[in-house]
Amino acid sequence: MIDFDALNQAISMVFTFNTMLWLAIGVTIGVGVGAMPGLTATTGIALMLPLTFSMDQAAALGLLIGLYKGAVYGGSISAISFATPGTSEAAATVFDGHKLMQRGKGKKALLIALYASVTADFLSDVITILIAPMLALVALQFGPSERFWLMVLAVCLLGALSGAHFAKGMFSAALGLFIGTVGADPVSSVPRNTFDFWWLADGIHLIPLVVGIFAMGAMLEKVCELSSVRHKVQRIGGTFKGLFSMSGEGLSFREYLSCWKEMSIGLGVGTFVGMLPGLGSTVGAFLSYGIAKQASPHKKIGTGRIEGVAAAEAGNNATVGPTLVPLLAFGIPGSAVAALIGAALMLQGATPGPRMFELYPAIIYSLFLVLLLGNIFNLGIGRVFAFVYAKLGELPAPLLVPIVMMMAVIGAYAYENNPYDVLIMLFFGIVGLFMRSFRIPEAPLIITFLLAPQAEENLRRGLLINEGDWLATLLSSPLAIGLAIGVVLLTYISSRMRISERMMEISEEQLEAESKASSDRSSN
Amino acid sequence: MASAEGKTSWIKTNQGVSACLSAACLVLIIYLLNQEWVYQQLRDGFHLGFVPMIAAGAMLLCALAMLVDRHKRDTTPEIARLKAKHWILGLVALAICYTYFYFTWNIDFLLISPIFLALGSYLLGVRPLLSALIAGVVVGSVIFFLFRIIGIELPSMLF
Repeated sequence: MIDFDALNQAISMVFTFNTMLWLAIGVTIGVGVGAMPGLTATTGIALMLPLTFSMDQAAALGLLIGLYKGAVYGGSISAISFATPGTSEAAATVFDGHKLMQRGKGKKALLIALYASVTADFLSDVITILIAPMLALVALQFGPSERFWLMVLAVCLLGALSGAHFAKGMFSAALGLFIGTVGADPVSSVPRNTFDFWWLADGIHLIPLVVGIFAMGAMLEKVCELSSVRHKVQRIGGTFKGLFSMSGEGLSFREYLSCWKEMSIGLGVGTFVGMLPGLGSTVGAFLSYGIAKQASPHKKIGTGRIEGVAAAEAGNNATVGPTLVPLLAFGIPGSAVAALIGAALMLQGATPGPRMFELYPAIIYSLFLVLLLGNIFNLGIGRVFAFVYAKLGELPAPLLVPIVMMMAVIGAYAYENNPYDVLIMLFFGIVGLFMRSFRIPEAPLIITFLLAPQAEENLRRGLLINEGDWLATLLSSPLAIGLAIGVVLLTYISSRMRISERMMEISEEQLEAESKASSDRSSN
Repeated sequence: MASAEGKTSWIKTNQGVSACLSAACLVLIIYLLNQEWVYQQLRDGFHLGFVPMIAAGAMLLCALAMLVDRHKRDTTPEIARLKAKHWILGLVALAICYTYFYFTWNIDFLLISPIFLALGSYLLGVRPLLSALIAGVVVGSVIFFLFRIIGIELPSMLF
């Protein structure tokens, strides 16, 4: 049922100059972040998150969701222009996109990437808007023990599907759980795990944690990389020359329509992958590309075809909306970006979850409107400025690194004007560097950190209801038993079958096969 | 992941790194076991240290699993490339960031930030120095006014 009062309120919140401006800024920054190799949507959102607490709800959502949508599309710009994907999810776009560029059809490739991204993103958002409220209705029937097991199941799924190494994913989740216990316990507010530092009594705040892990960690890695490249001087004088200079064959409407099959595959695969915790848009892009290639061998995808670009781009952008489904329906973020958007909602005083549909319907409708409007902004900004971004992708990393570091320091401090937050951010910067170097996925850490207090609260509430009986608490209903069995089975299956590892192997095999085919063609 | 056999030292393999992680987790567990609050029982009968102990135990279990699983001899290319100097460099970068923070909030954002940006980009390879300086002044000013627009006050004597 549509709550028309809330919808009207949402319309009045979203269709304001302020929200539109922040949505446009979000998309503009996002496409730039995506186009610059080394920056990802997660880094961008982590850096922007501290700014949102001084904004109103719709503007905050506009900035973050706009940035996310822009960044996922923006990765394709440098993938097509320089065969250097700005983000990992755009790696599949390189196969056909860069070959089109080499043949002088770069403009066509950039346009199909944009149109396929926006089409699949828009349609997957519609699916999200239809599915999330229905799932939330189901989630409302869950009691404390079901909610507890659902969180455990989500964490196991994240550990199993994030990264190629199951034990590393689970280690990350356990570390997130541990960090989540620092400070006061969530029920009685008794201080614990503070290592005798008084300034940890309030716990570790999310903003210094995410800024440290995602932004500072990534920049420290860049510093290490740059220090290994001896005396590589970067001259920045000519970078801005030649903006708007790209010319060439455009894309006809007929050509756009000819990619309907690949866009549909991307939409289906991306939507499904996006809803599953842990997989993410990179898997969406590669799976979609692989399926499209198998489904239409006569189109010779992989040889520089717009259909290949459409499949990859539709596959990654179709994950954007659905990644919010577990967050909105169950209160469980399915990816690092969803966790950060959930955190932004929490900063605005609205805890994501099924009850959000009852308690804050105006925010939910605002979110849905922003999701849809973000595509229009992405289309407009991407259409006009794609060629400018293609040049910005050449900005040297040595210039970028100190800027991001400065933003990280300001963001960590500005959140609560607390100098200890800067120290915490810097500490997690080095943790982030270690995690990146050892390829421990960061997403399970952040998501478990967010879920830890809720999981503990549900467990303790269940124990109170069942007068301290652990068995009755944990296995209170057939659904709770089913979920517990699901956790055991999932842990066993994912450790034995190595699902995520195999998906990574498929992606790497595709990359190798494409580069081999490409070198064969060039030698002939 | 690359195979490490005969190429990199043991400490850089998954087994080596996870051995260090296991030792760190063990130290953490011993530390926790020596804390009084861990055994403190709350009004609902729950022990305050239950969840932290479960988390530390799970970390140890995962680190031990990495010691013996099928990837134990693998090493990540990033760990293989990293040397002690990189870790020192990382710590130095963090120290510079904190120094930047200290001086910014005690002196002036608009004065310190361009210096930090210009120096940082110059040290990382941007040439000529004048380009780094101009970029520092422009970016510092843009960020200052952007933050001011959204209502976040950065310390400045001028504005």
